[in-house]
Amino acid sequence: MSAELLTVVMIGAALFGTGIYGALSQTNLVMIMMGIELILAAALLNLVAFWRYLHPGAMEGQMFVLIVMTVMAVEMAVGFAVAISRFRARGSVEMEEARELKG
Amino acid sequence: MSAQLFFLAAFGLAAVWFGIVVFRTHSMVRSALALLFSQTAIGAMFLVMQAEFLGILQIMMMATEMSIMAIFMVMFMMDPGGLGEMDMKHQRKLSLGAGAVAFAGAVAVAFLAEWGRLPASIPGAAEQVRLLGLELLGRSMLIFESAGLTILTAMIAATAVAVQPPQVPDRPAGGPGAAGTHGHGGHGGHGAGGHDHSEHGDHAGQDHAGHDHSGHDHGGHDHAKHAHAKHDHEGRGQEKHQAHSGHEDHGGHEGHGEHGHAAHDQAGKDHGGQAADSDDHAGHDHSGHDHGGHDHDHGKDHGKDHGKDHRKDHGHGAERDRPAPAKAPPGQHRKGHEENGT
Repeated sequence: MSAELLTVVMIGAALFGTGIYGALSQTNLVMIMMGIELILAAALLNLVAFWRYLHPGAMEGQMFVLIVMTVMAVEMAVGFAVAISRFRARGSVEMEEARELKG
Repeated sequence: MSAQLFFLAAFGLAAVWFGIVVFRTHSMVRSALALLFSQTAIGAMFLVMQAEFLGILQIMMMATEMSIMAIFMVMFMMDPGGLGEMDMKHQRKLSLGAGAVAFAGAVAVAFLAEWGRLPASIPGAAEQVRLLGLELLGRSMLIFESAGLTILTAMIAATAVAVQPPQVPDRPAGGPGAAGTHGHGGHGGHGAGGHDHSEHGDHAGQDHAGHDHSGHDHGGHDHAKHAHAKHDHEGRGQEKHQAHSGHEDHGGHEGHGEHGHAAHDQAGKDHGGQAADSDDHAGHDHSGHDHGGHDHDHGKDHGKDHGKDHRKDHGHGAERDRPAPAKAPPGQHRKGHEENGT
């Protein structure tokens, strides 16, 4: 195993942990989305590292990166749409006030 | 240590550090910028790993995405500048534990996994892009097209969700947080607001907001009477359509409370039955929020009350075509309140 791969995977792990912490600890919808962005960024990082250091000939790895970027964009679009909608209806995007969404 | 390893570690540490800063700073704009830096550092790591196309894509995409995020932050946050040092976190222990467990699990996998043999060489940048293009339009075409379709669907769905007027039924007046002077002030002001509507057909919800809080102000506003009277006079001397730039005109006034009063005075003038333009709407808006800020303790309930009153007023009003802008700057009014309160 190369030191580069290990470094990147460790950094991906740290970003993933940070993202999990942020997504769970924040009360604002937009801040929660930031945590999710960090988690997806960690996934991106790992994907690129795996492509580069394990299977550089397989372009499916880069393809996968593009898909994850799509997921990030979709998450942003839908998240902001929900935020706008909720802000109109309730005047805030604080998730502490969103108890009625609880099943 | 190879140069690649050095740059990977450096950019990686920057990415992690900025990722932590996202949740440490009180200023939400700084959060968005820190996330932008973190994502850019990740893009730089892509470049170091010789995935040039993806690296550039990442940097460009995240630059636009995080700019939008920063704008939304300012729109939606209670305290976008972080001046109030509000605590915006909950379940701190659970989050820290979950983050630590996730990190430890990923590190364990990294150390325990059999990664296999490293390849000898990788294709060059131009060759990579050519291969990726062939991959996109060859075997992975269905996935690629699905991704495009997904984005299109998400865009349409997001627009639909964001454009649709809220169909939320009014909550009962006696609900939690709805009772109190604020709610009653809203109702008192509403009569005048409705009247104004009948005279000037093109007034939307903002006018309601102004009425709403001005009525309320006379009931409950206590701690800045002097400032109020003073700005009352100055406000009258102004042209109506300068309401929007009222902050500059009242140059000597310090703090948010004064601004709010100045704007409020002009809102009162509009009450008198004159036609109001869009700038006056803005003036109304500010006044309403600032007064709300004066009269009440800050906090989440306060925000809820605002939302309710606005919604109620819109419901009563003849027109619902512009419901949203009336509530546009609650973050500002809350911030203003906190400064006033201290």
